[in-house]
Amino acid sequence: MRGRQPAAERARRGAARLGGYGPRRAAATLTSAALVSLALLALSTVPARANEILLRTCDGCHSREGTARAASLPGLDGLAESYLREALLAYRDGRRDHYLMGMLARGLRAGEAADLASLFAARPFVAASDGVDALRAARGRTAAAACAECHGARFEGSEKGPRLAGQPVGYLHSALRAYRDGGRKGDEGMRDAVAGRDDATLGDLAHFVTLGEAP
Amino acid sequence: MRTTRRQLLQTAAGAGLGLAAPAVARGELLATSRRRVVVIGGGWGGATAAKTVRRLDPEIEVVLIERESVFRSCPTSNWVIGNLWDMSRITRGYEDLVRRHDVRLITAEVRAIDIAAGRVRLDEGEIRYDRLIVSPGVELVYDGIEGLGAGDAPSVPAAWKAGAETEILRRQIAALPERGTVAMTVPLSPYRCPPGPYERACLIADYLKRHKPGARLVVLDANARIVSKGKLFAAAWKELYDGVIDYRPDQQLVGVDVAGRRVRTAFDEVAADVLNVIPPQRAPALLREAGLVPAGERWAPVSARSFVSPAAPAVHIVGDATDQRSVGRVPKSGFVANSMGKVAAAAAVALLNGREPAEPTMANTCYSLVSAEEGISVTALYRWDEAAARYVVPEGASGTSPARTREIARNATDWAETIWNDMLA
Repeated sequence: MRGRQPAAERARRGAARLGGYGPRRAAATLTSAALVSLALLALSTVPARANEILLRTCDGCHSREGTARAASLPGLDGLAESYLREALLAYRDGRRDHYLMGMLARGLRAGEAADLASLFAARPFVAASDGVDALRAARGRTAAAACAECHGARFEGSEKGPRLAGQPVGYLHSALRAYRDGGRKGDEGMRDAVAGRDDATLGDLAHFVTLGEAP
Repeated sequence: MRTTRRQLLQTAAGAGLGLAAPAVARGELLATSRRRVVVIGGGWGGATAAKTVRRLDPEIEVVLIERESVFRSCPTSNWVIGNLWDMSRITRGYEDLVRRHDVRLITAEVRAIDIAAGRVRLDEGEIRYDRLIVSPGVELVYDGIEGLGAGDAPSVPAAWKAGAETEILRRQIAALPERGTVAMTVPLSPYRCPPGPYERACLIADYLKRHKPGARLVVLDANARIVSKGKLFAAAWKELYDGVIDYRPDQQLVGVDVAGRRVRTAFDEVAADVLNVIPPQRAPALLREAGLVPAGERWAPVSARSFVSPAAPAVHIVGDATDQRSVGRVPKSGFVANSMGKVAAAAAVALLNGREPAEPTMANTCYSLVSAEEGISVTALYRWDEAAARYVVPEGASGTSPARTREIARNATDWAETIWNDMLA
């Protein structure tokens, strides 16, 4: 575990150097794709190690490269480390029920969920807000106010809840339904937040929170 | 690993000497003083490997040699045959690999691999490599099928490599007469894409059900049972395509009457308006001629920790052409080729930098649509077992989806676009 930390640390320092321009200026001068490549260049300066291969294996479904943004598959790059680690452990232990993630998580060895979480967290977040329906987003705005308590004023994430802004609508919608229907267990806050809401209401909510606007 | 390093140094020394020799100056197409990885094949394994090498070490030059000018995806090509997607949607260019990742792309046919000299031969000249990653896909074998050859594809397409035959088969099915018959033959496993024939059966049947009432599909399978996702496919056929799909296992193809539109197996003869013969497959001639496939074998063995060929220490082989007996029980799937490309690229970079390759991991996530609306999946995580010198699946780390769902179909289409970006963008 300890021996693997420097990889993530160095990658973070690389990402922090980029951030030194100030995020707005960096965004103005570099496309998000270029940011990804630069951060990966930072990663690439460390010796190739087992967990980096594992990380890249996940990219087969979770990559945020290119312009097309998968509407139903979540991006993991740049999410909070603690959230990612807990999510992987929840898939492994069956608290999150999924048709394939449980199997993949059960193939991880001790400590690898934490290692993967730190490597994903060190990458820059890439938004995937395509396909938002403005009318549905408007309908979701009022109900979204309650979500901001844990997920941040603009749903950028906080210690209490993961980033929602910029996550694909389809993924957010299916996650909300899973909390309601028992596919995601052990999170009373989320269970209570979605209890009794119908699919359309949860969908409206997803269309709004991904925008990253204050409710 | 000591042997590999020594051999690597010998290879590097040999290449260094070679640069000074006049014979080389004549033949070398792309002179360079940089360390160079050459990748043969711009498909799932090769495109991934080319990009990954550049990502892991920008000091290494990467030359990608591919005979086609664009990438056409084999996974998802059944969706074109079933009239769900256009060919253009499964076709991508190589321009991002060139522009964003500075991969040197050569559109050409590789004529030979000269392992002793560390060179790849094209019609126009040669290209030196420090390490070579070969991802050549499969060759279709028509030898054992009476009356049928590769030249019959316009009339009897295999459509097992995405391209012209994919379109031919789609058009033939669209032109099927009322109450017409489509016959598909499935070769003995192992072949490229284990669930592919059965997904194709579903999507052809779905199309027939909607557009060709009374038409049917006869599936003549050389295998004793459905090779992959068996329960899920069988359930879909029973519940969605009863009376449309006529599945017959243990039907080894013997011959085809192309003009008479008939296929013959050891037990049956079936007349059909559309014939889709998926022939047996093997590693392409390029590998056999280079000595990378042992005599009498169909596939190329590898030392799977790094995908280095036991016959050539500077050559990695990835993708469908590899021998599963040397890799472990991994399917010949696009996702696995993507995984192998990453492992081989990381190993090539490590070896070129004098390091031992890190312990590899691979995965497979393979989606099939069973109708225009619903999908199924199979997945596995493959961990390296040093003692067995193979990839193994940890307890509980593999399996199919419990059922067919709409969510899986949505994930399937999004996955395709995501992994193409992972490879090519």
